Amino acid sequence: MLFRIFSSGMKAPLRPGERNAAIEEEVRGFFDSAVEDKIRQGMSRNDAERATRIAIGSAEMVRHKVWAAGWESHVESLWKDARYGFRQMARSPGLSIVAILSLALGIGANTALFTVIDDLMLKQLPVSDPRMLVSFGDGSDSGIVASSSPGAYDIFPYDFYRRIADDRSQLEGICAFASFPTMVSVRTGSGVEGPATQAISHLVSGTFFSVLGAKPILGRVFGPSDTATEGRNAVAVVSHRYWQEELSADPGVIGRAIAINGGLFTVIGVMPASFYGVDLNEQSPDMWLPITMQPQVMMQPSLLKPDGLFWIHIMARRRPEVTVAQAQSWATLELQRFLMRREGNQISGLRRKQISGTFISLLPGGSGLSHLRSAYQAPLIVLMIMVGVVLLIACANLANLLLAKATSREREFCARLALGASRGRIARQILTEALVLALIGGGLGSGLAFWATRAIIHFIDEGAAHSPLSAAPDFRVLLFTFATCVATAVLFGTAPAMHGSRRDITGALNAGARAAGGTATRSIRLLSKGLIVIQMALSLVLLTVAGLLLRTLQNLSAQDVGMNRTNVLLINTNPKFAGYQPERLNALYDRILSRVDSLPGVRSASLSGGPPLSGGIWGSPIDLDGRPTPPNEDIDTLLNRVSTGYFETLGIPLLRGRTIQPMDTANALKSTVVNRTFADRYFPGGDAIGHSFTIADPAAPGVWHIVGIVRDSKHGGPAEKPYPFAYLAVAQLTGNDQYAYWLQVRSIGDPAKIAGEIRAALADVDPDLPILKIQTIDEQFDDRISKQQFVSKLAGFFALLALTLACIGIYGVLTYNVVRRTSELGVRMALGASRGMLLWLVLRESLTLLATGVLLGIPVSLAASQLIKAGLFGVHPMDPLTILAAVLIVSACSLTGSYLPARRATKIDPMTALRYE
Amino acid sequence: MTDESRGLVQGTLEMLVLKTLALEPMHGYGIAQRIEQISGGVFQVNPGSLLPALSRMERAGRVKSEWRASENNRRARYYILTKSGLKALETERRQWGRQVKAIGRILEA
Repeated sequence: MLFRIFSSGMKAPLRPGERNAAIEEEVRGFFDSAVEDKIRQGMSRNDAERATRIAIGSAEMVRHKVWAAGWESHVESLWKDARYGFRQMARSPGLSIVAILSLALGIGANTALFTVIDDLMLKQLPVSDPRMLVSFGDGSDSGIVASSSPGAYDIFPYDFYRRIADDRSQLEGICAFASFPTMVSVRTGSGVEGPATQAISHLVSGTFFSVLGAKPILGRVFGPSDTATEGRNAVAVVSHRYWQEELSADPGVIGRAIAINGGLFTVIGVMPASFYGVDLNEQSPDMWLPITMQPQVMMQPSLLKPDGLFWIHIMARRRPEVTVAQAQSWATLELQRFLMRREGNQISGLRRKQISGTFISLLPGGSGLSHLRSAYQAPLIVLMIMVGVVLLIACANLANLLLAKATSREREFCARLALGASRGRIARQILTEALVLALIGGGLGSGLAFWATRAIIHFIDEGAAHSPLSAAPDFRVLLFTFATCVATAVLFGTAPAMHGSRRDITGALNAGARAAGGTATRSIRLLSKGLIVIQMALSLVLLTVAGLLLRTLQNLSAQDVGMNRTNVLLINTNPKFAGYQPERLNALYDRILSRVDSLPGVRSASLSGGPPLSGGIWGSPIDLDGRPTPPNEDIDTLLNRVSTGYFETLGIPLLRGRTIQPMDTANALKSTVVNRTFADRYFPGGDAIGHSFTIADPAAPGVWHIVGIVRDSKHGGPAEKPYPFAYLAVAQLTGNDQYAYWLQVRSIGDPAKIAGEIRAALADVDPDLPILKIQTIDEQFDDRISKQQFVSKLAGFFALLALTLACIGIYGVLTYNVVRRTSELGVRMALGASRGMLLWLVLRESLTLLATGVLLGIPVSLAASQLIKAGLFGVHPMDPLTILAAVLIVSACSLTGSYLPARRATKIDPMTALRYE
Repeated sequence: MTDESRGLVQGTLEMLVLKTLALEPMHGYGIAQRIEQISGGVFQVNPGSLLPALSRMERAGRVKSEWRASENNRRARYYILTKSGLKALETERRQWGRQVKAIGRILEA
């Protein structure tokens, strides 16, 4: 039956003529039979027809009623409305294009940003039941550290995990993993020969996959036995991408041997493409390796021993019957006991108190850990608000367009009302037109969004080859866009629709031509003006915010980082991958430096442990001149290990003494150069040169003699405060801390141009030395301020977008007003008004709107800039210059937008104008 | 108003049409005439409500229609009761009976 209803309904709109004809025939038959009956009863034909018409009414009305009884009449009228809407749009293409483009830009920007936010903030890990996962702390600390901060812990030693791993009383399962990925050198060729490639690995415990509930597509994942004994389980689980690209999607890959850092590992599993591990960062791991293989994988001494350093993150799956609070207090108690026992018997009261202040928060772990998330959360929220405002302005444009159209079509609506159309019918017509606009705008916007999302993600992950961020808008994003479209149309379609259907028929039919005076029209014009004022005010707010953020970026970029940022190339390599033992390093360094130094385009070169401007740096407490430091004094010092030529290459000026020189050999007295802050803080009374210190980190043993003082330079970023810093001679270190991973080269010309020569030179020294990264120091610097670049550039873009939309809006409405007032302006001109007076008449209106908008916008701007205060650098949130500039830009643009229609008013020919209606 | 069917109890038109068609297939005018005659002129059915109702009933599968020659040799659309229409008639008749009884009891109480 359903089919019949449907099929008979479907046939009709396809052949509306056929059904209409049938209905008409039936109605006529009815009519004729009634007439004939009456004639049979003795009436004349004329009387019979009259009487029938009186009894039955108009045949056309009956026909329409039958027609309207079928559901397809609704579909058809909707379709008619839509077609009519298209025709209306085509009639005023300018306004329609403005409205569609406004919506496309507004919706596109919103969708793009929402996709990124969804990816970064809301997405759950692709594992089973991610809601039950908890993370021990927020995972914001990473690296290898001697101790964690008092208070909340989020990074732990391996033996803490071992202590709690088997306790299933509170948590269903607990897993541990390294707090950072490790780059490894891999040979995958047959017989594990062939060229070495680099891969990103992540060290994980045997419970990692089972706690996450992640299943492989091939082979198996790690089980507890895979991490039972240290150094014994050379097995690997690889990512889908790595399997496809590096292992040629070999179906027989399970059991295949690959060489990782020279040791043989067996591939035991391949994960599905959707699995990216637990870290939502720029790059997802290529492979997961057992945490017990840490010494081989990191090529570093074991971190697995009892009393080891802090370097792992912990996640767990909750038991449904145990509350988070219970599990949390259990974990905290375990941590405190663990820390107490680690301290041994000689535990001071102060330390005991410190330990009792430590705790673990169990946070929802279902969305994984991400340093990107914490870095980009605040900027994305600011941008989301801005882009929402852009959409608001776009919607105001749409609303103004619909309002203008509704008023200009007043007569049409009145005529339709007079002919018997219901108000609901007319309202539906206007709404349909609004929906057509919104859907076209939304469709275009979605396309735009796809492209924009890619651009934003490219910015965030810095073009990483394989990022877990995906540019494909998922279902929720599509829903969000669609809802925005429909809400826009409904919200802003109703105002004019209500107006249109409330017209007083007779009044409008008489006076419709000169609609300027109507009371309903006045309220509409007030609404339309209100919308423009809001657009102006909001544009001003966005411009101010963007201005402040751009000033911040400018200040950061121009900030003196204490070194010469021109013509320096940074090259990341790793002698470990080429099999160098510490004893052979100094000879290698000499060979590299002399080879690179001799290149024609090179002024100087140096080696260091960490790159300049890198953020992450080695640090340790120190003891001055062999005397123990009082416990309350902050004696943390940042450290780096550098070769000769480091300060010369980077252009860090020497203030006193000397820099690291070739005479600082392994057997000479240990030399160090300190920065000015170090010298001033620890030796306020006199000269630091000649003094010495020891370093608490056992990796840098011995007494270090200060031989020189250099200017302060920045490391974490341009906004950081100066911090005590000591540069150790790399040749005088031993073991794992003797490795230098970065080569700095000062070039004579463009540093990017000598990259090829440097590659060749390094290959000349040792073809096995991998080049992991090569970039100019400017690019390195940009990485430090990428968050600010991201937020300020996008904010600037959105502000310009908002301004453009607002100007288009004011242009459209004023143009419409001029057209509407054509006859009035003609009369004024005929009565002797000069062109200047007419120009002023129109401009005065826009000046009033502008002034109101600015007056409203300034306090809102001030409030908004207070909200982003934390993200500003070197500029006051109430910076008068920025606000003044924003006011000037808004004024200039809106005056341009209104000058064009104003000029149009002066070009009116009075004769034409008077005959206008 | 001319398009309101006079005297008809609201919501009963469909039941009356079904009952009329239960006797024999009929065209629209015939149905209107029959209802008027049997009710002794109390109920007058106007095409403005009858034809849309027939169209709805056809959609719902309670009647089907075909074009036949009428008694005076015109082409007319004849409506025929279907099985589901017959069932619907029974249901409505029972319901109506209950309602009438209930109203009667209330009025006589």
